[in-house]
Amino acid sequence: MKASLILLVEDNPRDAELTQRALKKSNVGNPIVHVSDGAEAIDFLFRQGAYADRAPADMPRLVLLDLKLPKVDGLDVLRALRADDRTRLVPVVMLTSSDEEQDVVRSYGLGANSFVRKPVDFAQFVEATRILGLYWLVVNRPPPAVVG
Amino acid sequence: MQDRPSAANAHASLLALARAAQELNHELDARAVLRIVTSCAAAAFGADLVVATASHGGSRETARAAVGLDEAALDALDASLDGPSLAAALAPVGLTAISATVSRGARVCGALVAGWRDASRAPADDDRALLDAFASLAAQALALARWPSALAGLHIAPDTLHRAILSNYPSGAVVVFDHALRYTFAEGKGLAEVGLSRAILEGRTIYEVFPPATSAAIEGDYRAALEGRVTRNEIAFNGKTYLTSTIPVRDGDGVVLGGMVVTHDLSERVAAEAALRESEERYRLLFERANEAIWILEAEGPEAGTIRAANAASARMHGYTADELVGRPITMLDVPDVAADAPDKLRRILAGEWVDGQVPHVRKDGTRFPVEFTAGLIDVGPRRYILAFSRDITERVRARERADDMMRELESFSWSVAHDLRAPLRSIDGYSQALAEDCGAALDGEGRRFLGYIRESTRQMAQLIDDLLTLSRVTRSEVRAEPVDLAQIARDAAQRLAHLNPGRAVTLVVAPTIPALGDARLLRVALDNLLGNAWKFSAQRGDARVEVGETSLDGERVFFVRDNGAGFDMTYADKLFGVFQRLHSAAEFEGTGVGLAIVRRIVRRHRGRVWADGSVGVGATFFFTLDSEAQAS
Repeated sequence: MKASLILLVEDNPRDAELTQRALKKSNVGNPIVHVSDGAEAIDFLFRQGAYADRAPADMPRLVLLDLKLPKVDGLDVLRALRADDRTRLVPVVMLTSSDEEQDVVRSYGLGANSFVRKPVDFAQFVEATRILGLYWLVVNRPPPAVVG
Repeated sequence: MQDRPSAANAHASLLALARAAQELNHELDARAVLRIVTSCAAAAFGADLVVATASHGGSRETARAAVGLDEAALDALDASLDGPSLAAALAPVGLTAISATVSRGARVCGALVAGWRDASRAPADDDRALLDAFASLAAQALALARWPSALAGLHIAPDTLHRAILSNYPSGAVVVFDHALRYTFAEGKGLAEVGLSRAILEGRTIYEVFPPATSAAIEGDYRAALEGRVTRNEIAFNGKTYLTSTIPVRDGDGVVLGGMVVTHDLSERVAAEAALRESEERYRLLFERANEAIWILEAEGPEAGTIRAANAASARMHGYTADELVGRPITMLDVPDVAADAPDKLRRILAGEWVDGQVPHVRKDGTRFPVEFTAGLIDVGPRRYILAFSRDITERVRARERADDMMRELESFSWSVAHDLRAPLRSIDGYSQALAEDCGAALDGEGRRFLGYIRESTRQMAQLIDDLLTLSRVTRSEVRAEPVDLAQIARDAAQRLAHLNPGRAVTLVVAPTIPALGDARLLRVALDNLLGNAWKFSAQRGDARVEVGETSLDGERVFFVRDNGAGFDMTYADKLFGVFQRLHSAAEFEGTGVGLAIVRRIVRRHRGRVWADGSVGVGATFFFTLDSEAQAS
């Protein structure tokens, strides 16, 4: 059985690359799918548009979701996810630059499982990613419906 | 024994008497009238005794004509008896008597009695008719006669109680005069003020007391009083104003006994009225010239809400003249369908509350503008009105909208800063690290050093962004007043600091609990900064000690954070709390220069003060207070 997928929703290609590097450095071996805006994320999750052919089994085990995204922003993606039975239980970790209180409150209000602010210091970022991967991919028992 | 007189003779005598009385007019006094009547009657009847009595306003006169009778026995008779009683009382003296009533209108004012010795003759019907005619004539004459004795009574017996009362008559005087315009009584504190006294007045006529001009001026009023009329005058004298009332003095039967002048010093009242007029003028000007619209509205009844008064500002503000507003309903200025809570406000006003509010109003030209008002109930005499003040707040609303816009812009700016400014920094740091890791072999020592500088600067900038965001957040966020424990917050902050600086050994001294009222989240930020500073500036000491506590200054609770670190020069104490102000170089101590500005802003948002005390090499103490009223309650 192949390792479960991580969906990384991040518009900044530098940030995306560094996040993937951090995940790799923290020994998270799961395959990572990177999409660069909210619309694409929704297409992937709901197997539509460019992702209509995605295998149903490739439902992500974890979504790393940026807040500030072109087209459809992170909160809208989260809202759409939580509104659909297929994706209602997928663990979503908000991975973002800001920790403005309003963002944190809204994210949790819409059903985010976790809120992590990306540290500027890359070493700290790697550490945060390591803990995050360890928790959500190893320690945490995923909801049954999304076990791929 | 005498002959019975003929009726014709008697009638002629009476006519002569009547004419005489008419001519004498009121030069004749009452006693003289009675004397003439009795002697004429005695002659006309051939009676042995004729007695006449009359009373007038409390004084009584008696006269008798007797022939060969015992005068002492007659003196013993009680003349105050009415006619029939007196006639009956003559029987013991040996007389048979008849009586007639002397009347004035319907009122009995005296009696006429004629008597004969028993043996002489019995009174006949003719005698009675004649006596009635005499009595009627006597009444006519008495009506014109003077009654000096009545006025003399006023003068002679000024009851001591009355005199005592009137001598205390404040700010004025009371004088009484008789029909000869002679003062019979004078009392009152005001006499001396006008140069008069009881001694000057009593017993003298106005002509004797005053110079001709003055007596001529007052004579008319005095005579009017004697004729039963009242006159009032305001007289200015010696810088004062007196109200004089010249009024008739009547007895219980309404007969004018004399006159009285009551003088009252009005100066105080006149001055008070002048002051009142001036005050009214002042308030009228205040009302008229006020920049704020002032309204007086009908509070109750069918005309409730009608404008009773509106000042120039009210008119100007709404594009009307004041005349166009007065008498119209205030609701004509309302924007239709907007004042939904108006009935509730009106109810609260009528319940006695002063109510504030904002409503849109319509000008005469139809344009709308926002108005802020304060209104409440006032009592003017027995009536209740609504007093309202209002002002045009167009400018303020605009300013608030501008401020709101700016705040929204600032919020979105901060949000962008939070997101967008940090992203490139992460890239710089991440790729520098990647470079060091992946291409480290290709770099020499200097290259690695430069990479280190890049990463260090990145960290500093990230910290600065975070601090500025915190500062901006502190400004924008609401401040709650909740119970907090500053000691616990300090211990938590110290724990975080210890975790971040594992190499440091700092002794934290703090009370078990420091309860206060404030916003827990903001106070945590403030103590994080204060303790962070204490930690930072005591880094060069092996025995670093940070104390968090509470003291009292002039009864106010003062909280403090004290360290034994590098301290600072008090000369620059005022620069401590400014943004980007630093007293130490970055090489000495790291920092963005924003931390204490954040602390000050948090404390100020709690309506408190913050200040510092310190000296170089000894340490620093930062004091702060929180809303003192909230802490006390």
